[in-house]
Amino acid sequence: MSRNEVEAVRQRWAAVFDDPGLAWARSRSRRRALCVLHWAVIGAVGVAGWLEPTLAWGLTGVGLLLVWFATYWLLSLSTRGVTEGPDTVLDERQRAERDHVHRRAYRVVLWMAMIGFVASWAVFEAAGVPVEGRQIGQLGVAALLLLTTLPTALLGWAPREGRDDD
Amino acid sequence: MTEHGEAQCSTLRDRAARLQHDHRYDALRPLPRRRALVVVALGAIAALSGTLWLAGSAWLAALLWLVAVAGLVLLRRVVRETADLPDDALDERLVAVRDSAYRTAFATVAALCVAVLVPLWIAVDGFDYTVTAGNLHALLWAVILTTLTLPSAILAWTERDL
Repeated sequence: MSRNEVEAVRQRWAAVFDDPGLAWARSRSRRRALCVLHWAVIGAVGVAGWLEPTLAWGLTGVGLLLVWFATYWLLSLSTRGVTEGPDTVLDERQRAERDHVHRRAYRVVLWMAMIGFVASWAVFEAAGVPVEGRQIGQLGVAALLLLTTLPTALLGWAPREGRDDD
Repeated sequence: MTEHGEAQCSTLRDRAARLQHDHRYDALRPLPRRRALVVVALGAIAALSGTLWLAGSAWLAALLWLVAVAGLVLLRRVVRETADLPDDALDERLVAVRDSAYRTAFATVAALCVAVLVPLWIAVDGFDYTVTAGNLHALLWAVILTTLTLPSAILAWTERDL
């Protein structure tokens, strides 16, 4: 990629993610509120899918997915796209921040897998609850929704030294 | 930092320094051997998951589990535990290298989960495929072992000098 092309990509990125009009979404309290809403939607997908596996396919499911995507997009804008940004559009500090938050997200995934293993053993082996494939499928969907946006949500939750607007 | 915290940091730094001068695993450190070790460790995890999923021989599963865990331990030693040491025990360059490996590992685990869960969801929902508790445990074992192994495996695969 030539220097001009890199510069053009940087400018397009900055136009979307450094828009001063989004300052309202960048305060720590609003980022955290977005995180709570985002995680609540994922929890609702899991619970709705567990209680009524067909529910998640209907209007409720589509509505929850729309809110999930909207909160993810707002979180991404409020964190200036750091977790999704390629090396060319991020400075050294942002690259370090991006990689560091991925490490934290990775640890969360490991803990979730361990807790999931123990819970699954306790429910299906020890308590003898029969496995219902559709319920497991919906929990899998909730896990995927959480996994794909986890670094952005964790960055939104974290205090950002000297960069919080409140 | 408290006295206890400083002592802990100092212990970690001492441990990191010892690991940097640890020559016990030098035979495994040339790049082709490290990559062979990565293939064996990840291959054992894949085979273990397949064996558990298909409810295969318990002896084979135990053997594969031992190979996977041995691979994990050796990979950690070969990369001098860089993936597992905290920031205080590493210099700035190694912190950047470690965190970059975690980013790659996160993307890999996420892609693997999508690649497994989406077809499974379609099979369960569309074709009434029956999932058993054994299937679930196979999946979770695969995620746990892969997640533990991958950062060290990526460092072993990509780093030129160790």
